Amino acid sequence: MSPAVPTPPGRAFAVLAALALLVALAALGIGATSLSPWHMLRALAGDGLSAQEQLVLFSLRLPRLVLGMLAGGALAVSGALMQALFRNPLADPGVIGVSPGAALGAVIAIVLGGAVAPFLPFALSIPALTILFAFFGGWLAVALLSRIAFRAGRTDIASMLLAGIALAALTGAATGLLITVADDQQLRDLNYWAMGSLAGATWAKAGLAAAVILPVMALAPLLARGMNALALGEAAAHHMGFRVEVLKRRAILMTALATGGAVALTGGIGFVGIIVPHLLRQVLGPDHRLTLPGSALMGGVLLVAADVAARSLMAPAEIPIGILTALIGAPVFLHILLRRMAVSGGAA
Amino acid sequence: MIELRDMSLHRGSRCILCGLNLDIRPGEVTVILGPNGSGKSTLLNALAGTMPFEGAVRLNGHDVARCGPARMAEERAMLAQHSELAFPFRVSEVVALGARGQLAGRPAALAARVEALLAQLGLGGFGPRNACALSGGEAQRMHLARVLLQAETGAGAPPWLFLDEPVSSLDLAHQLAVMDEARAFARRGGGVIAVLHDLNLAVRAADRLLVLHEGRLRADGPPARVLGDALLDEVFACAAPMNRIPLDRPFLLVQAEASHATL
Repeated sequence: MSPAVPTPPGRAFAVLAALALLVALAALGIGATSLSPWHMLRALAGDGLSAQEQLVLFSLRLPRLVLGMLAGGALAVSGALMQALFRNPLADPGVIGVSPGAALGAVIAIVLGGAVAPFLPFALSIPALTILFAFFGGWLAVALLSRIAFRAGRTDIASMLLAGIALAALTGAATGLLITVADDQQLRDLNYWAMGSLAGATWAKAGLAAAVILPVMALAPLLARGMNALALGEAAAHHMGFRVEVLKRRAILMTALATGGAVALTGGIGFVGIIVPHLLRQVLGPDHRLTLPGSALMGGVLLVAADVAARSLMAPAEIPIGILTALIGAPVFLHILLRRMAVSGGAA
Repeated sequence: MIELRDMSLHRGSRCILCGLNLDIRPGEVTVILGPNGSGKSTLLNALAGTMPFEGAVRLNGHDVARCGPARMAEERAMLAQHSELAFPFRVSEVVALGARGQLAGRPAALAARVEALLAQLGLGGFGPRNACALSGGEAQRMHLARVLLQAETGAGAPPWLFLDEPVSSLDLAHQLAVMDEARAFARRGGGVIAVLHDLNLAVRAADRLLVLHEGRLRADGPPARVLGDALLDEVFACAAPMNRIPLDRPFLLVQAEASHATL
């Protein structure tokens, strides 16, 4: 339950901004080559760093930080949108098929990419092909699900949810099939991608993420009032003057874009979309005018913090970040579920 | 004014509402009565613009079939039968969701109006509470406050209040209080259409009764003229002798067994 008097939004956002700064400093400074904030300030002024430190800071850690902030924000905003749409705090971009669809696309690219690439009209490396396939896999899945759930001018959310389960099973089976024909190197790539990582971050990837994700982050808050009304049910939102169908389609489109982009570039990082909006609702209350922009910021903070932990806990080895987010996220998910069951006397 | 001309609504080949011709006037409380499945809620939803229908319905001169939800929301506010809140908004936040026009953009004035409406409905001081933790009756009154706010801040002239079983989870005192709110709204010039099941409450609250039976308008007029033993027997399948105490408003006293209702 939200507290009777939520934290004033101004203060909460100031805390979030401070956290973002702190996490950014940690992300840029911690690692095999450690850099103090003082070091980095001097680097901004253009002196004091060795060539290697320059390389680590500007070509490795900074793009990784940017990609992490964007991907985390994208996953969290998508989660908040899906929860508003499904009127359920446990909903996640996975339920509308983006994540499983993107995963299948990536697996196809990794396993069959080598065989397909020579026939493409343009030259693409396997990693680039993976991004492309993951993105369109996510898109295709959402398009398919929307088509199934779209009946007589209305999107039936329950049908979409059930079709999503079927689709996830189907993509799971297809993925499994491809895994059986994959060689050892492909299996390692698959494994790494499935658990998610920011390790391959480049400026090109960060730029791509920004192009897809920033527009969604900027536009999502425009849906906030409609999402608030939707909390009273679709009929009530309609009675209050909102075009519910348009609202639903926009939310699904934004989620497909943001999650598709994030999953394509960083792999299967789960639970960010559930943890972040949940924590924000605890602090700010459920008003989407606050939780949507808040999610954009806090999703990034959480993912970058998890990334710092993933790089440092077993250094020099790196734990796949998806494992960390699942370790934090799954208990949070169960916690929400159990509390909902306690409140409603059984049903979640 | 709401005008229905040859208004029908079919589900498959079944006629849910069949050829209704009606003028519903503002400034009075119109209550729709009828047994289960007679089309009461369907009629209210069609008038509210949430269900497609055949024929013509005009609300304050607007063609309901062609109005978008934003226009409709200016003209009428609707209290649905059930409303389940997905997230733990505070009571004041839920009520404030109803605000339209300028008031929606003025937080201080909005908060004051929300608090006043809550107090008016016996929920004074409930503003900061978690709306998910209210009892059924409290939630119903919270939603009524939201709907009243929407009606009074909408651009519609006159504003309309559509109430679908507004007292279904209220105790007797609050049932009377809610219908008195509806009457006060009508006295201020607004239009009220309510779907009710309780005949006595309908008699007490209504200026005009519309009795639906199998999708057709079976009776229309002031309660004292409309409700009689024959109508009760025919429409509600209930042979209940009716006492008229006081004389201008009939009072229904169920003494006998249902005549031919199969329960």
